[in-house]
Amino acid sequence: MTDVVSVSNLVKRYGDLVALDHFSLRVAPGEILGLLGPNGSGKTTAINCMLQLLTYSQGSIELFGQPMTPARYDLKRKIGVVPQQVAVFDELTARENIDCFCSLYVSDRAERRVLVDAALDFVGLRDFQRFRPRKLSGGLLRRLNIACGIAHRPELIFFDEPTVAVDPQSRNAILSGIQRLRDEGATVVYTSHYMEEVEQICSRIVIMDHGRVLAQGTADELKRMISTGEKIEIEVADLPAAVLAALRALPHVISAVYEAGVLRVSCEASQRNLMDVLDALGRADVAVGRVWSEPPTLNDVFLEITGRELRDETPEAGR
Amino acid sequence: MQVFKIALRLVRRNWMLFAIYVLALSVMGVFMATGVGGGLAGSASADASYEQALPKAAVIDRDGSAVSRALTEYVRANSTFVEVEDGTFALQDAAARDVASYVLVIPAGYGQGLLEAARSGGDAPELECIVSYMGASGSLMDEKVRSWAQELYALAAASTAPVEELVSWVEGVQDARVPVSVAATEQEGVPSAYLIYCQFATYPLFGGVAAIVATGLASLRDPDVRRRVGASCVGEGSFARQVGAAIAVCGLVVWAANAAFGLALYHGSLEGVPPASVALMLGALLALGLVGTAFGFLLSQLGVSHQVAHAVANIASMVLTFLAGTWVSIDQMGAGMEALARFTPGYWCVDALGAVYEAPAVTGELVARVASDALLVALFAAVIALVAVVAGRARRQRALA
Amino acid sequence: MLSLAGYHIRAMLRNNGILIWVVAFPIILATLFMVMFDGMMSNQQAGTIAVGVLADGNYQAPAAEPLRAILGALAEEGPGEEAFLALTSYADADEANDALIAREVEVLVTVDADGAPQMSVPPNSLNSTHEAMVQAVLDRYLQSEAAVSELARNDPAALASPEAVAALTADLMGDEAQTAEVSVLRVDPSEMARFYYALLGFSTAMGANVASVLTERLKANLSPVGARCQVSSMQPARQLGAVLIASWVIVFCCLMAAFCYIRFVANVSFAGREALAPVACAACALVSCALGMALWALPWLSANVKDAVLTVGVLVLALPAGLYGEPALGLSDWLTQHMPWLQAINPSVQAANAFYALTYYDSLVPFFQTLSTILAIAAVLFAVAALCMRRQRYASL
Repeated sequence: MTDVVSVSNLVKRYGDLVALDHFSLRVAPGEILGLLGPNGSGKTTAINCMLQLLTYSQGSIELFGQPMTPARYDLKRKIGVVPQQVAVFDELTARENIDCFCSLYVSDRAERRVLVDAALDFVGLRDFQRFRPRKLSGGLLRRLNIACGIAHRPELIFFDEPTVAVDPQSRNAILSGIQRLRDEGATVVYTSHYMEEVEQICSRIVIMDHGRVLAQGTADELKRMISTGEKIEIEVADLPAAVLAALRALPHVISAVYEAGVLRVSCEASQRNLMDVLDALGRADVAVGRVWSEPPTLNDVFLEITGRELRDETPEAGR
Repeated sequence: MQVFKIALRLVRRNWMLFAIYVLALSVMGVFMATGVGGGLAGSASADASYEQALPKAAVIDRDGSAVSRALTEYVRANSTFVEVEDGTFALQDAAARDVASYVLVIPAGYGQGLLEAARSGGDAPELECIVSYMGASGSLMDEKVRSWAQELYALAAASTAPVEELVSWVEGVQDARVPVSVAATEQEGVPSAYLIYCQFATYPLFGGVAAIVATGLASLRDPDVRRRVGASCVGEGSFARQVGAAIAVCGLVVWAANAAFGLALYHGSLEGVPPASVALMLGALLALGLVGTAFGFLLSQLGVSHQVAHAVANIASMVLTFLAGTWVSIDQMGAGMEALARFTPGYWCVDALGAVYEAPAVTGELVARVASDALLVALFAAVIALVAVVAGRARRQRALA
Repeated sequence: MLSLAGYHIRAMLRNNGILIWVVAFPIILATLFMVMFDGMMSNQQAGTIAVGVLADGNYQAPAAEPLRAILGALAEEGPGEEAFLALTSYADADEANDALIAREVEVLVTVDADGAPQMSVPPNSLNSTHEAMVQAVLDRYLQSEAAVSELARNDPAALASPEAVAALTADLMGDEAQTAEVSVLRVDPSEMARFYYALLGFSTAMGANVASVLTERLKANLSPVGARCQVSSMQPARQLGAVLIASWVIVFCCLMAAFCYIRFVANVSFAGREALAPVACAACALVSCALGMALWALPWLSANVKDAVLTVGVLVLALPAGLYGEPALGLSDWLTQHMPWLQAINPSVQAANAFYALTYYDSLVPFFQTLSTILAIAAVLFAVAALCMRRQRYASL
């Protein structure tokens, strides 16, 4: 089946800054593709290029198997956009905003009325349809932003960081709504720097930084790419250096760090990691407190690939 | 003083706005002055000779007689003559667009009719005229034309000389003019163009400051920014004082820019004018600048939106400059309006400017008069600032309640 | 497209800035004019002129008796009207000069040894009209005397008898030669009406705010809403059409409201041609939209700067239309005579002229010529807007 989105070797420069460096992307029909990367990695730039809002110096963009240009209104009819900035008219009510933007795609008023009602119900704004944007909370405003982008039932939807500054309840509603859209047949490109969201809803994830694709695949595939298979954290009141050295010598242990009363051990994938570590601590009569064990996260994937945190935190020290 | 510095930085970031409001409005003042008082070089009257302004006049001669030709020449010599075609449209055009302040229409047979009337003792046929509604120069020209015709009538009634001789006598009589001299003064006066420029400076000094404050400091009124500041260790009172100080600096800079612009453009025509005269005028304008500053502070304290502040600043400027008599002379607006104008600061500022313009020399009385006018204007500024402080305090207390 | 235009209209009518600048501002200004011009004195009324007279020996001499008589007659109040002159006598020349410089009197009249008057005026006078009036009176006096001398020199027989001299003197001061003021315009013009026409010109330019706000919402590089509109499937030309329809409707209605207020509340006459006012308002609304679109379509300036340029630009355009009083009217007339091309490309001036031409000329040709000029300006501005708005992709947003 033809890819809904096919981007090849896209290059975009802002002066000397290369925002997109031979960026390539493929999105299959019906999938939710997550575009994951830190702030300034080029996610929004990539989307704006695909939407033909930005010029680019090199590369090709095809949507629905056809070359995309600013004048392809037939293709634009099938696209919906939920931009990062809330883009609504301050003077119009929620319902009026949705209808107004829907009218850019659907000219029949009766048909639009049905679509607008559906969009209001979809985002849960039926009770707020007469409110103007200024009267809506941040979360409700984001929902309105979404409704304006999907009311016309597009086949391809771009969500550009739709949950920024949104309360947890609204966030969950948004994420489950996106999944419903996928279930109804839409293809979604979802950009975010929140790995938890991307892991939760995306069928495939592309990790990018400095305008380049670093890795892509399902969440599990990405995690299998890195050496870390398990991360163990144990509260230890006092850990002698010899014991720490012994832990580092254990098989499958990649690194062990003891800081501020917490022992952090990164291990390769194995079923005996936790037992081996606890045994080693037991043999040294080291008293332990609480114990955590978790699989690697996408942040670990990003960290291992780039040496940086996904969310601009300082890199881990003392590996 | 951090808020003060931030506020100044914000205004500096909007330097383009500053340039537009101060420079553009100052240039408008120059255009106004050019239209009224002459060019930038000015007409410094070193020899103190009197020149009466000549009205724009036109003649439609439907008679073609020696009398009508002579009358036409008389009008030509005593006016800025303009050609107007003899047709309904051309006459309407001239009247509607004030192409000529005075259009004389000499009907056919006028010359003959005037002579016959003079010699029979009857009334002369009437000359037709179109007198401009703008100013009295048209009426004055009409008076001169009637005088000329009356002189010819009188000579024709007294003498049987042929019409050509009568006309030449009347022409000879026109040389009799009252000599007019300008009273000598010790010092040179301020040119009228600079006066008009200063009068129009009331607009940028009031409206310009308020608009710059409204737009340049709009982000300081943003609710989220105010909350952030409120959570800091800068007290509300200190915040208001520092913003007020920044606004005061804005006002000072606008005044200085407008003054420097005027001095640079008119320095040629201001040579010979005592610096004290110019200083008095600038002092009066500084007082009005304080009013603009206080008004900008009031808008800031009321927390009005950028758009509303913009509109209010411009509307208030128009009202102020109108009541100051810069649009239409106050004494033409009726006693009631003049009484109302006295309650506005612009009136007293323009009064001070006019006093300096008319004064033959800078005397103690003149300084006292200008100082009292300026103090009165400054009093307006103080009252507005006080209202701003009270209003701001009331708003803050309401917000806390 | 019509649905979109409807939403634009709705949005603008809820926009505070638009409501203030485009709807309320002209009405406020017209009300201001009404209040201020009520009781306004005609420019042609002079008021009593304060004249100082140096009452020295020359003035008191018999040779100056006719002059004294004339000045005395002019200083008398007539039935129901105030005196033309108010005379103040000074015994001393220095005292008289000081009084003149101190503006206690507007003009000082002295008499020379031959009984001929001389006139002094203060420097930097603001009363040039009063001076000219007194000068005209004194000129006429001197010319009357000169006429007698001229006749005596050229035709002595005509003044052979004292009765002939008296008759000549009486005729010279008579009023048999008269002028009759005619009105060639459909209604008598008034200076105040020009302010109202200038106000309509100002409103035309101010209406550009509407199109500018709506144009900002079309382009991705100007607003987030613009980005959303630009990625939609409605063609830019249709979106632009919706903006044009919406802004034209709003500005047209505002101009009509201002016109009706001026006509029916301020009672400014349009000489019975009110039915054509909507045509003028329609053309003015079109050029207003074009102005707003062209300015906002320019790619170089930031939104804040464009905002200020529009605000101040409107004030500057309204200046030669005559909005700021007599100096502006003077400037307007000067520009019309010396730089007519500058007036021709100014939409505010042309808008004011349209209502002017509608009112005062018999023929409607000037009116429709002015409308043609307005439409030509609109066409040029629309072309600029179209050229600048062709771009759909940007180097950055």
